[in-house]
Amino acid sequence: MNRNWYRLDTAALLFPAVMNKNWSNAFRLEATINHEVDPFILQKAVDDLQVRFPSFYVGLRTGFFWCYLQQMEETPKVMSDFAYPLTFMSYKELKNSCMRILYYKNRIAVEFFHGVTDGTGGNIYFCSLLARYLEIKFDIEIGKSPFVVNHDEPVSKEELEDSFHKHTNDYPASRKETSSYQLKGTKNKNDYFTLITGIVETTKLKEISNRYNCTITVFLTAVMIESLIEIQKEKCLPQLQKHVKITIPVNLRKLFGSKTVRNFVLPINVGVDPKKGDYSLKDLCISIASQFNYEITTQNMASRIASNVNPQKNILLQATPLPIKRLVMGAVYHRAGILTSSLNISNLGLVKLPKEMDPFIERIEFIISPQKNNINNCSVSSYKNHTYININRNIVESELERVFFSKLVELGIPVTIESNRG
Amino acid sequence: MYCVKCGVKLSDDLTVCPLCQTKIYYNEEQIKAIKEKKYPETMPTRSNANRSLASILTMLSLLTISIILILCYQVYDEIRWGGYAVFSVGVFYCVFVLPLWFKKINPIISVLINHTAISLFLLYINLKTGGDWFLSFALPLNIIICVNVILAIILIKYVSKGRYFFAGGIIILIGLSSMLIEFFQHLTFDTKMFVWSLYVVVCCGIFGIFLILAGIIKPLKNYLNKRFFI
Repeated sequence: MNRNWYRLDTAALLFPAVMNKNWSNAFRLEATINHEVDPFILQKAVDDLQVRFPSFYVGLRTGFFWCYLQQMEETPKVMSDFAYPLTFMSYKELKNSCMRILYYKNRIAVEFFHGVTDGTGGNIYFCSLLARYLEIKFDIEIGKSPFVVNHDEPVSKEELEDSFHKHTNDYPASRKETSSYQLKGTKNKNDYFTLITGIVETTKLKEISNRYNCTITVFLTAVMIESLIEIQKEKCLPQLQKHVKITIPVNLRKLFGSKTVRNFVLPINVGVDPKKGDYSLKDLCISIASQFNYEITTQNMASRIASNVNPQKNILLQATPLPIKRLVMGAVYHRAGILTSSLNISNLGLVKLPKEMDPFIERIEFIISPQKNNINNCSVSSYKNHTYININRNIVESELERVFFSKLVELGIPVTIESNRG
Repeated sequence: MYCVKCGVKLSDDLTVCPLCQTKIYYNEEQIKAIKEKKYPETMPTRSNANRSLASILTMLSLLTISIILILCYQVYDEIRWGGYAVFSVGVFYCVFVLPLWFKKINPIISVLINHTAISLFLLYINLKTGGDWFLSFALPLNIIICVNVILAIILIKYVSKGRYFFAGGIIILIGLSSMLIEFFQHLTFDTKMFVWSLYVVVCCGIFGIFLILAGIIKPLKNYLNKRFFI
């Protein structure tokens, strides 16, 4: 059988190059449903979506010059969940499948290797999987929504394209950035991730964000920066204080009108320099919102895309063997990607499902793994009237979470805390 | 249940607040009602051992040794320089390849293996060149370095409290070791006693005492923690 293969998209090129034996860049989507998961039906649903989402049923392979994705004949087998989310994906595992389908009691989760897709693309697959599962389980018909596609629809070319190449310009943006404050702590044993989920009411969160004249993402980023400034102040002398910056992945689909289900996201760094003086939360919200407005324009984003796409067109770089590319990309990623921010905040936004699905689905969460050298990462998703703020860490200390969630409580937002530890 | 310190509401499956580690006390009825954990206990099975790479490197090492030995016997009818090359490959194997076979090798054992391999290599050179410096200089030097490295590993890996005292002690020990090294140098090569080692002893002594004082004086310790945190 002649199986398809795909080049890694522009964003994904980096991920296999920078992964190591302790860290793989992955994210997870999970849904809690109102009954115990039937693994056989879940497996059937996974099998049914293979034709509709060919770019997800792939294994990561190594070529001489680049890594590539090889379409797999067999679908990934559903398996029982583990003690913590986003357990390490080894090369061996990725060779067979770039995603994991997990279940535990009444929860279904899919963990994606970032080389295959981003949060939005993954969410389309995940919601379609949930829809197919419910269709088989209860013999119901589920309508379409932006996140749910029918499993027997044909695949369009636009869904599989590398949209970065389409929406670039000739003016690559500079990668120069100041380094940011990095949290430190005692590493967890056995690469364990500790997940703390803060559940807040979306209406309340919106109300408080509106009071500060900003969006939920800007508000949460501002609170997180305020928390980081507070921690840095406690731990470092004033003259040694660094910038506090947070990476926000920007979904480019809306900006450029793309339909791709592969990666089409670019990170921007927003933050402040605490040396310049004290910032109130209002100051932070104003500053972060203006940085968002300045950065997120089609022109700026196209320039940022160009700085990623242009090197790929360089014939010398193209003809460089993969091991050397890995070394170079690893160094660039470390300097331009990791050290320039304290952590990521990835907001999936409000997940709207077809009304037929709502009675069965209780919650939908989005979790990202900590970055290679950052110890925390934060992801946010909203479903029905709840917003789930997941902070995942690979250290023992929970200082950032404590300061962050206490601030939300102080601001008048009731928070319910859950964790896989404690 | 709410955390009295953080003010957050805690889910029913928690026994401590995950934010501030405050213990939650339940009455008997509440204990019965405690929900099941959000995640199962199953830990992922994962092997850190890089066995395929280790086997390839082992084969390559064996191949190199065989080629060297065959070449030497073909050309000179004896080992000659081949012995040095074989021992070099052996040391390389002990330092870089051997740890790949194990899931997690204790660094102290690893240091002991590496220093034994290096000592054997030096012994071979000593015997081959007819020197008499191994027992009186190379071996003691190697043992001194090995002890210092092991102490440093213990400090980094196992000591969480009193690090300043321990670090100060090790630095003073390094200074004293230099005197010992110079003593063995004098015994073997008939050089002057205690020429350069005195400088090392003084420098290490001052720095070591400073660290011990930092361990005793809390404000100094806090200042150093802030200045030099890694």
